[in-house]
Amino acid sequence: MTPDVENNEWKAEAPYLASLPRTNPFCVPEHYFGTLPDVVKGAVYIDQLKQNITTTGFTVPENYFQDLEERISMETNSDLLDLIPQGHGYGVPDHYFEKLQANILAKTTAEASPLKRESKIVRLWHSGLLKYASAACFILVTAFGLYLNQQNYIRETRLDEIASEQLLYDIDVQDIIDHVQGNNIEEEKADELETYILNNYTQNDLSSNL
Amino acid sequence: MKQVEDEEILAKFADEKTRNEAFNLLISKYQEKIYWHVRRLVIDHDDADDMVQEVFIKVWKNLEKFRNDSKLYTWIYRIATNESITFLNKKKLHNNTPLDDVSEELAESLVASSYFNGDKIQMKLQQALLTLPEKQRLIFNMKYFDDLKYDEISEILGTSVGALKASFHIAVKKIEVFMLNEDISF
Repeated sequence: MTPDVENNEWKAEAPYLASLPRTNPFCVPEHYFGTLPDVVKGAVYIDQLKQNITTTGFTVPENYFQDLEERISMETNSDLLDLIPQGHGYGVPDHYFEKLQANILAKTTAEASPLKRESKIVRLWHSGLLKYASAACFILVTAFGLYLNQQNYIRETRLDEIASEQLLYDIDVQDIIDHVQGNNIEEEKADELETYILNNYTQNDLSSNL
Repeated sequence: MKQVEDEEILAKFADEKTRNEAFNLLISKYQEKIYWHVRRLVIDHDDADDMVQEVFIKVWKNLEKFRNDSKLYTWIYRIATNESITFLNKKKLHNNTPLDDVSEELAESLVASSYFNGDKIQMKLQQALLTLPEKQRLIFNMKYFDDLKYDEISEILGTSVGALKASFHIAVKKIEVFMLNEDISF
């Protein structure tokens, strides 16, 4: 059967399709078929190289591939470990860590305090120098106290004298004369009293009452 | 330029000294036919470019084993067809999608392609083709665009002529209906 006869068969069954021009709607980049032979030969050449050069030229350490599976499984296991939640499974009482610091501080300060007591003790009275210094101070204080006391007595005496002198100056002369005369009256009264007693009382009365 | 006969290419390829020359001649003779055959199946230019290189690498590797049991171009076509179908199957597996979704994907790449200069009717025809099962699309392309005879297609695909005819007629009817009924809107 020739192609024309073959085509006539379907053309009769599909007249619309038969009426369409049988053109190629696809296109290719410019000069594509001009360069395609070189591209194909290049591809063939590379394929031959791949077949002829079976080794890559690179080498690996001895037993590399034998250990590779184990190392990969270790890596993957470590990755699996990373997936496990970070918690360690243990628990502590409520507010444990809040109290922990205070507890530690309390214990550490309690242990630190005896150290302070063990600081060096200097016994003052065992020092000869201090004894002499103390004695010297005592003497000085005593001497200073006596000196001050003496000074006060002299000053008070002098002040009394000055006050008496000033009083004499301040008293009126007439008052002094009256006072002296008054004293004479007292002496007269004492003489009269003595006379009265001697006259009215016996020697025995006097000695028993006195 | 006068096309070199397949026999001459094969003879030169058999000689170690003229093998490269024979391969150059073979590429020059078949590159466009193979490219368009692959391109119509995989739609995208870059994919087609990769496929063409793979096809010719296989030709280079296996041409020594080629016997004159079949024509050279049918042998190369078979390699190209198998490579294209393998590529589409890989695409299906890679995307984990059924055939219909691959067809949709191909249709999208057809619209987005910068290497498509057909008009609306030609675009619609290509979209109609993408609604066909893979085998029907393959047969339609080889018969409609490449104008191959059923015998040649049979040799390439390893399918009987009767089965090819049936598949082709089913495909033609589906496309005719699609073209007449579907609105052209792009």
